[in-house]
Amino acid sequence: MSNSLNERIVQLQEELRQGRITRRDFMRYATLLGVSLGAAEVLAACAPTPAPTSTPKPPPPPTALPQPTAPPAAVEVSPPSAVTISMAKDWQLMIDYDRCSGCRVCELECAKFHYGVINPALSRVRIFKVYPGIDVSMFCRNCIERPCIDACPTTPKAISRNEETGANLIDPKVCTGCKLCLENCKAQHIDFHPTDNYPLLCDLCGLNPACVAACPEGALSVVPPTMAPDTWAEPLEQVTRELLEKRGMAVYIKEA
Amino acid sequence: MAETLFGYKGKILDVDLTTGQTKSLEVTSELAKKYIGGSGFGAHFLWERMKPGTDPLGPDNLIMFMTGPLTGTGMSGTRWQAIFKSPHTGAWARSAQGGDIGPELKYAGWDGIIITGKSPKPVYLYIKNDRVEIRDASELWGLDTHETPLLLEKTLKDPLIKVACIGPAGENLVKYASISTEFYRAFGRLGGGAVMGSKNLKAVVIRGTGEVAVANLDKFWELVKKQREALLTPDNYWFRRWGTQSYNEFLNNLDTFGYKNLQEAWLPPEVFANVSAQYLEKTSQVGRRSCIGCANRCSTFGIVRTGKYTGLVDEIDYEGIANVGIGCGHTDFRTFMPAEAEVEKLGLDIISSGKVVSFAMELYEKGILTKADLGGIDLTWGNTDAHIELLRMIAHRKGIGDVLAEGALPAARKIGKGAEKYAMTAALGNEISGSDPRAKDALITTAYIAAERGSCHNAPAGTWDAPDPARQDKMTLFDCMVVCLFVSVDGWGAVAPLSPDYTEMLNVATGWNLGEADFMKIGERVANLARAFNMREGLRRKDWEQLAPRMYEPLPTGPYKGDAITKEMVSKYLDGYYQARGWDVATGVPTRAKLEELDLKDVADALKV
Repeated sequence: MSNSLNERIVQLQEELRQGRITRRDFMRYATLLGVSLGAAEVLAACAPTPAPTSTPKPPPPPTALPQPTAPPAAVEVSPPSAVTISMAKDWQLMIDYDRCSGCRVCELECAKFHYGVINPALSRVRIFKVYPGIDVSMFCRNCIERPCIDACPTTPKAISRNEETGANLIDPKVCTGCKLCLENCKAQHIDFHPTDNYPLLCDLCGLNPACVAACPEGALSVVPPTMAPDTWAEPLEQVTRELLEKRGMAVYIKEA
Repeated sequence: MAETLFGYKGKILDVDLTTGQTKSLEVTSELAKKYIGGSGFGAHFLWERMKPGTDPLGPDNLIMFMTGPLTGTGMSGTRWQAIFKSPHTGAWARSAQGGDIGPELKYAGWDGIIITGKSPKPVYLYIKNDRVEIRDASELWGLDTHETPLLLEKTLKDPLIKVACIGPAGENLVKYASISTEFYRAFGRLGGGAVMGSKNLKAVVIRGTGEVAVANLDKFWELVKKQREALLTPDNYWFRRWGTQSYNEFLNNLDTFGYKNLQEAWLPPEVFANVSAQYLEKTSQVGRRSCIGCANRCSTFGIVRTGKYTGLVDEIDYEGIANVGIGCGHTDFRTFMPAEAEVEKLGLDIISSGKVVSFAMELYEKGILTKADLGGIDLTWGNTDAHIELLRMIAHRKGIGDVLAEGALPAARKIGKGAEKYAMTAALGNEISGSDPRAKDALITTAYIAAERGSCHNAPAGTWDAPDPARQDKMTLFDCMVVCLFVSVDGWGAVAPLSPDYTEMLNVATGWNLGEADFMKIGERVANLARAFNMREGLRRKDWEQLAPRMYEPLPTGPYKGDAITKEMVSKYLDGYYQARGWDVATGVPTRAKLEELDLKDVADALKV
């Protein structure tokens, strides 16, 4: 078992070196293979000499390896907050787009839970009813790497990690509403409080979110980090494109 | 300070398109308690503000969008209503629409919108919370109901705006043009789209970020959860799984599934199979959608996977399949979905346009309309391309389309040659829906004769033998609150044993303490006020007492073969119904006693009864 796992990791490392997969993909596959994130970082960083593996090589042959166009991975790896993932926390909210019916019960429950009012605009989950048949739910994924926190310019930072859950924690009093977090968000989507103008980031409700409990479709869940790598935070346009493609609707939907 | 009106936002937006003025009207506690909201508010303002004989397509008609105290509260199935004087029937008209836009109006801080006047050039109304603007819509004019919201989202740089708009049919004043939202939802019936078109109003765009406050939130939320759970029980399994299409099979078995302009009302199993909900689910379903807060998710999307229309997506519901589909001779989802998508894009009423096209198809079959009359299209049953071409001619009023744009009955009168017997219309000359009323167990029963707005697919008042106005009043109450008829656990058919939950929900939301009797009285009041409006317009019993001649012929096939409606049944029913209503049996005018009992003394005075 450990041998075959190792083999696949070696393969992935090589693909990474050849620039055939991105570092992000590598991290995703590696974590999916059960490698802890810290270990995956290390594996991505170390640059093994290309060695023949048991699987057939795609062209070009190993002797004519092209120079990697991407900068060496080692340069890239400098997360100041070398993240340690804990299975007890650092979980993520996940959506199954195929189940979501766009009913926005999640929005209503989220706003009710956090603010005690009926007002979906205060929700940290946002449903975009893009086209008939395409409802996309956008929310903070509590990514493993958090460029939003890195970008937050205040001291102390208005966005931080909750010690208990690992989820994002926002301090509205510190936040200046500069929206640098949005600029750096991997999904390019953060909703802001309509009057107080601070980011509405998912705090996972202490790992027992109101939206998950109420979703009539069972489309939402909270999952451990290895199952929901940060790469799942995708911009609305990208998710829409993927869903249109997947469902064969691309032909029909044309922008005005 | 005035008493806080829980469930309401306390103000209605009043827009005059002629002057470009907008102002805010207060919703008083008195008004709220008298009419609840939605249809009730609409009936009130239509009665108060409109002079008798107003041209429905003139500047003095009102187009009103009204929410109710439950709209946007997060409970399942909350919607909004459009109320106006219909250009199709010349009478009181109301229509309902789901989706997210009605609740959005509440979040923007308004209980309703009243629009009057006529803009000199195409405009759209933009509402963002308290900010209200009348904006130029010259770039939108001519676009269909799919292109319009997409362009607005792009121009306003906000994908979360909610848009209700008209398509080419509304712009060209087709008498049964609809007002569309989310591509496929519509204020379908009675030509609200034409009223908007006549005012040069292309769209209403809403974005709201405020809250809806209820009197007792914790208790209300318990009821919301209870309602959601009820919708998730096995009792509601079929509706959650197949939406309104569950009715396809049910109504086919009842011999009420009107095929080919209601020539028959039953499809044999091998034909029916291809228009069953299960077939769609197996072959072409790509998604489901809910209105905000609703656990029913009854919208079903199908996709065409082969042929010329590959990739086309359409929402399929019972009235769509019944009117645009099998009503026009389509016996497969894949041939009718492109036609229904076209109906939506052009902004036509799915029911009336279905019945107008099936009328034309029958005339073509009988040789009354020739290929030359139709501008060269081969309008055979179930011919998708011809169907679409004819819809475009109607929406753009080209050739025969100009005649058909007036509705089936006026078109039949113009065409002559005995065409009138093929026009499937009923009360007030409005087209009947997909359900054939002839079978003795037909669920639609008396709705085509009894509904105040004219032939209607959801307001029967009892059966032919047992008139029951209370049943209609219950539906009216749902239109006042404004709640979807499909959210009671047993769906449409079971509104009769009105779930006490709704009285309770209304009370908990508003902080009132209405009993069942008070509640029912409001329904009756709204029904009578709408009636009074119609009487003031000069309409009388004879305008309701009409039914397509085919309905008096026996059903030719199916389990209820031989059943028919007789003129005596209709006349006896109306006698009984008007009597039960407390209306004059000969004319249908409400009596003073009834109006005064309902606190409508001023209405009785105005009617001089």
